[in-house]
Amino acid sequence: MTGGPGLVAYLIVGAIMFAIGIFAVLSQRGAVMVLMGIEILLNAAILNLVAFWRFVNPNDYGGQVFVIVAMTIGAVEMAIGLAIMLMVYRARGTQNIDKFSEMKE
Amino acid sequence: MNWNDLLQWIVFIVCAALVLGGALGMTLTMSMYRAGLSLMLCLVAMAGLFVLLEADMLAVIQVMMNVGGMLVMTLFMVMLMQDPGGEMMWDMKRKMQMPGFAALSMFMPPKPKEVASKNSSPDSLNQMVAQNGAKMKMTQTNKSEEMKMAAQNQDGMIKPSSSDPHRRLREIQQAMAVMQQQLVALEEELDQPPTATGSGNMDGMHHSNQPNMSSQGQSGSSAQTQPTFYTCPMHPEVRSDKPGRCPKCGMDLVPVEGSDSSSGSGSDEHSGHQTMSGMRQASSSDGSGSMAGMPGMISGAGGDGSMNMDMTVASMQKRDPKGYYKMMEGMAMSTGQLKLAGIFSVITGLVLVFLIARVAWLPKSPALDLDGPTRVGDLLLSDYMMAFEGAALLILAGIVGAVVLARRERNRPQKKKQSRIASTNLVAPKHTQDNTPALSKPYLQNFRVVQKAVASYKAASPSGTTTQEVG
Amino acid sequence: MMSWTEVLNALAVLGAVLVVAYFTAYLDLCLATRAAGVSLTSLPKPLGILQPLCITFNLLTKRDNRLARADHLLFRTAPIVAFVTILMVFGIIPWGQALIGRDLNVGLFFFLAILGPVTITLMNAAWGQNSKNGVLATFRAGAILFSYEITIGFAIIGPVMEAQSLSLEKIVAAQHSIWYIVLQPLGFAIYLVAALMMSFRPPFDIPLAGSELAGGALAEYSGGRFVLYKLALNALAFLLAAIGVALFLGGWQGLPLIGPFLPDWLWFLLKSFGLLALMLWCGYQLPRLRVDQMLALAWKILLPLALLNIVLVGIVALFV
Repeated sequence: MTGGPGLVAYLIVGAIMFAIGIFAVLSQRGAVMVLMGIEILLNAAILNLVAFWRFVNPNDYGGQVFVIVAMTIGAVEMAIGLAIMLMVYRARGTQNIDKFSEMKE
Repeated sequence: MNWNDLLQWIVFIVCAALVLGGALGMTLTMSMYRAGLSLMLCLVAMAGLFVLLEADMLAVIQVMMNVGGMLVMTLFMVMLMQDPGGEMMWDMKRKMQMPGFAALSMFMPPKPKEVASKNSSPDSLNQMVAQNGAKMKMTQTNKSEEMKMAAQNQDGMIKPSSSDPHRRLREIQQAMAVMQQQLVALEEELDQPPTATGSGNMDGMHHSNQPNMSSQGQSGSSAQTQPTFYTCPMHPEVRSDKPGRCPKCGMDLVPVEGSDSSSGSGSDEHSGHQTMSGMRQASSSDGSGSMAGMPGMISGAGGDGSMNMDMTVASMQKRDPKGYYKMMEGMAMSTGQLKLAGIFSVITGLVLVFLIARVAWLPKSPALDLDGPTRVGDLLLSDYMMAFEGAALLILAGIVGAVVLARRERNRPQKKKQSRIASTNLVAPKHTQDNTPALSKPYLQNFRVVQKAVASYKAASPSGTTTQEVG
Repeated sequence: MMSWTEVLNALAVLGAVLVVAYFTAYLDLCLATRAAGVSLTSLPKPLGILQPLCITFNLLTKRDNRLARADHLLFRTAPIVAFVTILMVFGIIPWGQALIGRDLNVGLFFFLAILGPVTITLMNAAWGQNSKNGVLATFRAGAILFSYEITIGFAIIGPVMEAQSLSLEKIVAAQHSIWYIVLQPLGFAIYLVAALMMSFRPPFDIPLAGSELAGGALAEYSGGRFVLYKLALNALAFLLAAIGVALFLGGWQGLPLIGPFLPDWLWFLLKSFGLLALMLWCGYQLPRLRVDQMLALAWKILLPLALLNIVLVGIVALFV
């Protein structure tokens, strides 16, 4: 490989990050921790986007615009998620998602 | 490969390690605060990768948005979690000798069959008290020596030197046992029936005889059964079983609930995280909080005053699977499907890496001009106007939605008063009554007992100097 | 490509941080003693400038505290991270014509983004000591971040709109005819208030409040770490004044009418310390604000004013 780290290196970092995000979402019990796992998933995708922009078509700054919109969506998702969490916490007194499973039974 | 490329590789590897380490650290730590911070580290290190990809503006935006955003998340977690500093769980992990990483070892066990646990908590408590009583009878003699020993023990404990929580706990409990015996012996020798305050004290001691972590859970359930007595806000040593005025300063006596009598007056300064956790417990709607299963642990503790170290996960699961399950229901960080989640995520990662490795990617093409911000600004206001407006509207909708969702209902009757306190009243010191760190409670009661023992010893001594009523 | 000049640049920036932090400490000491109406210095007048040095050596001889139940990782790394972060921002200050560590094309954004972690380190320091006061200080430091970040972002948009660039060098160069304080005095005032919040100075020193929280976030530090943290906070105050000078007061350029009869870096230093003295003096005259008062000030007063400022600047840029 010539030169600095190539596209494959960035994509592999993104893939591992995605796997860690999935682990965090599936294994944690705290609702805020699950939100944080979703944040990792989103950022893994954003890293891939930036890497593709840089290596495939760096002259089209539309790639960066796409990333900015994705970041916005991430921020909004987090704000709404936290607000819902706060509401649920007020109603139930816990943020443990195992306790919210009465739809199952 | 020239020097510049090498530098790029070094920066890349460092940043990638920080990204992955931060993401992993978030799932593996038990301190909520640290989890938020390590996620922040992960996302900020990703900004380093952006700089390497020559997307400076995205890097700056990434840092700006995520530092603020993760900070909000961290603070929310600290407010909502019952043990944000992770201290209680570390204590428990050490005590139960759980193997493995921090949070991975605190996962939910599979749900046990509906078997009645053999030694339920009240039984074991009674057993323990009975054992203590028997021991006391045996060691009635040579109390003066024991008195000395107790005094020494007390001196040793007041020094905050010993850092090992096990040893301190054992010391305290030994001293407690000694002094309990002593108190009983003294009272029997004086041939007086134990007063109301005396029995209150004894109750407190029984509670604090249990291991460290159960004290908080116990206080919730015992508060209803304990008799309330009254104490002066300025002179905590003044106690009475009926309301009145303090003989020392004339202030009105305030009611105090049984076993918590000594914890409110003097609390350790170093108890911030425990304070937060205690607030969560006091505020959780189902009174007993998440520590409901904790009495199950008593069966693991010996009744002879010293800690029984056989409190490993295996032994506990075998002896009391239901109790263990209930305990973990409150404490565990990760779900029972931890292994499945791990396997699934590893498979996902492997598949992704395999797919990436199979494709022949393009080589790096050079960026033409690096004045990214201007270009992006132009694009945002020309070609991508709709996307820009859409994002702005989305943000607006997000702000409004978040505010509307999180707003507190004013009209609803105050059913959830406790949780309201939890979310707003971080300052009020009166809610921190039973949140002193677990160690300080037996410690303080211990001190009281010594005071009382010394006083009654003085009263019983033949010289008969000033007999002061301490009770 | 790394070269010797870059290493020298980095060393020069480090030296600059130490020097300006020292003089900031002296200035702060003078103003604090004046505001308190008592003499806190033990040295006579001409030698009073050595007072921070004496305090520093006194502190350095103290033992490094070890806390019993603290979060050691956070507690011990906080001052180092704070100092390194502030060092990074010093690289983008335009000290004079072509006298800048590195002119970034996202300079102002960089300044905003990288100062967020300074507040985070203060929160770490407070949380790490694991005390009740520490937890309160953590939340107060978080409140400060939420107060200043949006406000100062909108306040510095004004000069960016006028100069049409995020690069500090270009913003300073665009002020050769008229300083932006003349065009947008409102933005300048908002920047000053937000800068006071950002540098944890009175009346916004709530996470460090000596009389309420017994020192708050810095309560448990001693010895070298305390010195390092104080150094970082002093450098932060100077940094905010310097950026304010670059944005609103013409940077290294001399007074418009008198002309540049002093070297450019001296102009910059004079203006920066003047602005710093103004900021600190104003702060010492006011009573300390509560958290809710500070948040209300930032979100209900400063933010609408900053939006109004943007509209005004837009009108000025279009029609004047």
